[in-house]
Amino acid sequence: MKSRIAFVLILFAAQAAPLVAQSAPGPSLPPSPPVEKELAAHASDVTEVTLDKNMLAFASKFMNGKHDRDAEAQQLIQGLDGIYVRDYEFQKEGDYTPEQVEQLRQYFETSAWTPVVRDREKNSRESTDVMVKLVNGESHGMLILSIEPKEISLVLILGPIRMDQLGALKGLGGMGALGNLANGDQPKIKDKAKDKREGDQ
Amino acid sequence: MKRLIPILYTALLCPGMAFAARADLGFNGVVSSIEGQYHVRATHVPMMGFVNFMAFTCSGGGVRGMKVVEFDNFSADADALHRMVQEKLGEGWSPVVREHDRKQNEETFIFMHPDGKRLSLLVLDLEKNELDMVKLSIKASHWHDGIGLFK
Repeated sequence: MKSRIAFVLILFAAQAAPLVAQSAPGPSLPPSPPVEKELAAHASDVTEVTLDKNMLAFASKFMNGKHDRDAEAQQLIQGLDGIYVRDYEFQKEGDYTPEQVEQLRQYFETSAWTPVVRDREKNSRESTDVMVKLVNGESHGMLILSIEPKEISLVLILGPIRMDQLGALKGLGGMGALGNLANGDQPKIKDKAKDKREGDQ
Repeated sequence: MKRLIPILYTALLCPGMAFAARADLGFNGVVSSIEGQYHVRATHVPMMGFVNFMAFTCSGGGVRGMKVVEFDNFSADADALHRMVQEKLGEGWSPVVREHDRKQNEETFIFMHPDGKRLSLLVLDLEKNELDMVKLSIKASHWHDGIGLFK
């Protein structure tokens, strides 16, 4: 009798296993900064692209590696946990406030994230911030925040990532600008506003 | 001890019943939920069988399983609709793209579901008074090669 019960239990476990596996939660989307809702409410066009680990794993399977760039991208995205792109376009300048941008920056400027690029263009009023998430000295995430008078773009890449591999991602939606990094342009830590202040002194 | 056997067999049936319920959570599940919740009727596009055949043949097997429905006189809160669709689709489906165009008052959602070597897509386009829904399955390698042509 015991063996029959064991057999029934094994059958039950075998049937239930795929259900459990399918319902196992994947890597979750990091919580959005609260200010993003305000930005979305004022934007004329909002685009959100979310590629979670499952989607990236699937995509990597079909990069056939015929070209070097495909192989690079495949190698890179296999280890990533997710790529999130948010783009807010505004009809006119002033539809978002500098305080909202600052809130967005401050949300990520925690101890876990280290700024590596801070670029401020006074004439065009554009700015770019790049931050990396360092874990034991290794980069485990990257945030790119690009601010223009009528557009705010935020790209969040989660998972182990190397700067020299970033250019391989330029084929993915919303990340064409990363292509410049593939040409050997290494990101530099620069703060033009700070440079100017130092120059004035 | 004999009483235990029927209980265990019932427990054995539960996963099967759960699988059957999950099968209803696909495209048809979303359509019937929208009909029920928003009191609208879906308009099905005629001759979809022929369209499917042509799509399958012309794409060399790359595209199959196309389903298209349209809801007229439809209005809904986009967030609530997005949540409801995601819930009805269930596990395995990821909300990949969401776009809102305030000028055109248009909202587009794209959900994807990797399924072996194929990728299922569900696209919802919500305009002023209309909701269009399209589902199709694409061979992933076919898609990758197709995108490569435009690089």
